[in-house]
Amino acid sequence: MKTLLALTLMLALLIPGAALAEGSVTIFTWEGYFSDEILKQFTDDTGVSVEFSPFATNDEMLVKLRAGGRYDIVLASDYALSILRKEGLLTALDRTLLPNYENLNPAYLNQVFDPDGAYTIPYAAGSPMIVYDPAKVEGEITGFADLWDGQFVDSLALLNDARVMIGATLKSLGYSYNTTDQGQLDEAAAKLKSLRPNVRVFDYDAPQQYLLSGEVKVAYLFTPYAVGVQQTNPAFKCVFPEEGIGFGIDAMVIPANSENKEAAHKFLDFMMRPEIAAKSAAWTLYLNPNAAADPLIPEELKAYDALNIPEDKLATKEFVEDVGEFEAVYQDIWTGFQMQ
Amino acid sequence: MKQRKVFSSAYLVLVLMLMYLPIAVVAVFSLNANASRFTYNFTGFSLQYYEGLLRDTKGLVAALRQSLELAIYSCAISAVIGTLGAVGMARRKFRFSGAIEGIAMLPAMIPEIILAMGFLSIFAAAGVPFGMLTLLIAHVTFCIPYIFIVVRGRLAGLDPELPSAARDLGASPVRAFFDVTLPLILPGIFSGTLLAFAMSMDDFVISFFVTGPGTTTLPIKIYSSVRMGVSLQVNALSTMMLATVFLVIAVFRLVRQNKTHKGRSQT
Amino acid sequence: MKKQKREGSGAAWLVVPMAIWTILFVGVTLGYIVWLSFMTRNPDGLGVIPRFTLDNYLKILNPSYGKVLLNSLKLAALTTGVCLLIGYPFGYFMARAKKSWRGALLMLVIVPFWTNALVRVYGWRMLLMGDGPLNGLLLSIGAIREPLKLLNTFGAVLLGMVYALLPFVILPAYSSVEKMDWALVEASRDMGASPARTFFSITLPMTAPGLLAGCVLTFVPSIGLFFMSDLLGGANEVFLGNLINTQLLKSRDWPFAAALSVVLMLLTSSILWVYRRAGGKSSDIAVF
Repeated sequence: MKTLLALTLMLALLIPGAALAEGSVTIFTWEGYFSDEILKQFTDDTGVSVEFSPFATNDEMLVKLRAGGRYDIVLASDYALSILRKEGLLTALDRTLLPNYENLNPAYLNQVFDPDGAYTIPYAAGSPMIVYDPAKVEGEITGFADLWDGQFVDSLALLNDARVMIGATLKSLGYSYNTTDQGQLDEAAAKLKSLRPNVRVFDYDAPQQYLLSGEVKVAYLFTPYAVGVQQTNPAFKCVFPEEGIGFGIDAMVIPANSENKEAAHKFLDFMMRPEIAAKSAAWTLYLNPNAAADPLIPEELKAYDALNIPEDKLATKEFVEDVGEFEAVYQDIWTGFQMQ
Repeated sequence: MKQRKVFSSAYLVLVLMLMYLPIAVVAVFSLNANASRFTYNFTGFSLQYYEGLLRDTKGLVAALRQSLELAIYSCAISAVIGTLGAVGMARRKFRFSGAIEGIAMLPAMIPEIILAMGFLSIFAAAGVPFGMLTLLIAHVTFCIPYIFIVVRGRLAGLDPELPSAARDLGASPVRAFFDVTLPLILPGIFSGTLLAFAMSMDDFVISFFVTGPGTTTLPIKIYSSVRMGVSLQVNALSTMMLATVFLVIAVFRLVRQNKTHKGRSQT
Repeated sequence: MKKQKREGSGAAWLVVPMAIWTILFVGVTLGYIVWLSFMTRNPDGLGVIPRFTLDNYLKILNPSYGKVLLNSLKLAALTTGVCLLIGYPFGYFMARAKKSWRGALLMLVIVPFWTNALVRVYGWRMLLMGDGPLNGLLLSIGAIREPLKLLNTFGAVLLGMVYALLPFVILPAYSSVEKMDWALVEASRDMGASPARTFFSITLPMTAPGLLAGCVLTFVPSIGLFFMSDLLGGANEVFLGNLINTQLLKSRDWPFAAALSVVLMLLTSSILWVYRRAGGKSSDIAVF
């Protein structure tokens, strides 16, 4: 009886793809950010099973991770990952387990949130931009400052994100996205105040709906939403602000308290395969940070304005960076702006 | 008189129609042929979202199962604790009953996010692993107030002489409770539990902060999908849930009506 | 004598589970929140420094935060008012309806709660969108020339709030009207009073407990509800719930968020206290 049981167990372990043998990874990120098809392919190819835990915002992710939540892969935004890195909550990646690392485009590596590139693997990148309906707008929009024009009273949709919008305002004044100069911040607050009558809606998650439905004439949108708008209605124009752009990278990390680091590395390496990265880019509609995957991405997708940042604009890019206690100042400016 | 009848019926129907308007929209849009991630406008009829639901392509049904499991356990436990508490406090005024009552009610009165952070902090400090256990504790804690207050109210409306009468007739305290008090407050327990059930099924904030990897409830899943676009499969699921509830209620009523008719014809 | 003693000790045991649970999970949690509200924020943004301070409460005195509180109170008051206006008659008519219909009506009122709150609000959004079915209908019948601005207005937020809280007025109203002694109403009519007079001098005062309960059950939650503003109001206004959320998650100022919450707790507790003093009883809030 016992030998039979033991034999059965051994057989079970030998079955290829058995989760028992290869382990599993728990992924923590936005629901639907990884395509289910890709996740399934990962399990089929490597035998590692995938558990998924979703979060709704970076801030919530930070709270869970700092409270000791245990996950194997976290996919989140740069500034949040930077905070985790500084608090020692991330694992330094073992490059020997990541042969596909060389596929990555160096332009996306070693950025301010992970200067040595030791902790993160970029997954998607983008830059928020101005999108508008040329039929409803007089003249052309070339920069963020144009949004203050009188013709836009009650016709703007802004992203409900303090850092992104105040950052854009700062840049239109010629200052840095992440300034901690109180004088500059006061100036930005005052400038924003005069924009208030033009703002009709603040929305972080689906501002493109208002543009497409005609409720607003101009919207400030994240990359995939801008692509989505042009996919739905090619007449809409997308503009990178001439004053300079903000930039963001969502990247994957392995938390320090993960118990499946080897399997997690397998996951990261898998995601860096050219054909997988190309599929991811087509799924997320963000910029693709994988150079080897570039030729595999459909031309129609690459043609969208949102996915083609001109070199001169790229040179002006700034990330949202951790500003320590000034974060509260930015948030207060934004709260004051919204309340008017 | 008849005018009034017409007016009151019309009013009821009108308000009910308004109450079900968004639900009707949800149901209709579940049949939307539009598969875009970015827009919702109606482009035609399709069963694609119901098909997706059947194969549970988005894991919504699994999340629903998780939510139901959690809600049922939470309600069961909080129903027992809350009912016992209400009965006990109705029997005798303790020195601290006012305080206990006040504190027990607080979870229903403060913003969920604060309660969530509070739970998170004490669980983390106590080293309790996040998961079904922490979820259960949190849900029971915010469900108790609803059941407690409904049963309390029901008890207050009861004739206090009844249990004493039972005792006078020789019943033990336990027997008096089960045979006299309990049946009388059962409707209260039932409705309180229904309310608590709805609160538990709908909870996102508290659940998110105290759950662990791999335990995802339906609200968590839905709220987390807002960034990439809430799939209309959620609409399909909601429509099906509603249809199921109505079906169950209808069947219940039919069975009861049948019983009453049978009873009557036997006399 | 003996009977009383036995009952008394029995009752003590019954309360123990609830007392333990309450003290352990509610008391400790709330105690932590209150403690947190008096702590100093760690400037690195990580947690708190255990140093006592009243700064968090003093910060609330800042006029812009006061405005947020006022906003929330205003919305709560309006929501309660509209809910009473619509919900009381509904509960009244429901209680006066044929007995066989009452159960069905009750179910019809409660069942929508069984859908996810977000899904219901999305339903309103889809309906009220600039290119949604409502505007489409009005345009096609020529009632309007251009799509109406329905979404992202204060009206839309109020609609969402009333929609979510209406049952909390309907049910206590129904409950109190049903329990009423109709003989008094009939007597009043027999003595020659008009329907209106009867209503205001007999019915209304007798169903006041239900009205009061409805007020409390609507007002208290609406101070904390904020996602209506984000989803239906375009986040054009900031309410107390938004503020607490922002302070907690984005500014990572836990002590300040805790202080705001303590203030909110005191506010709602005092409303309940006033309710009790006005003669409100638990049996009236028990809406079933």
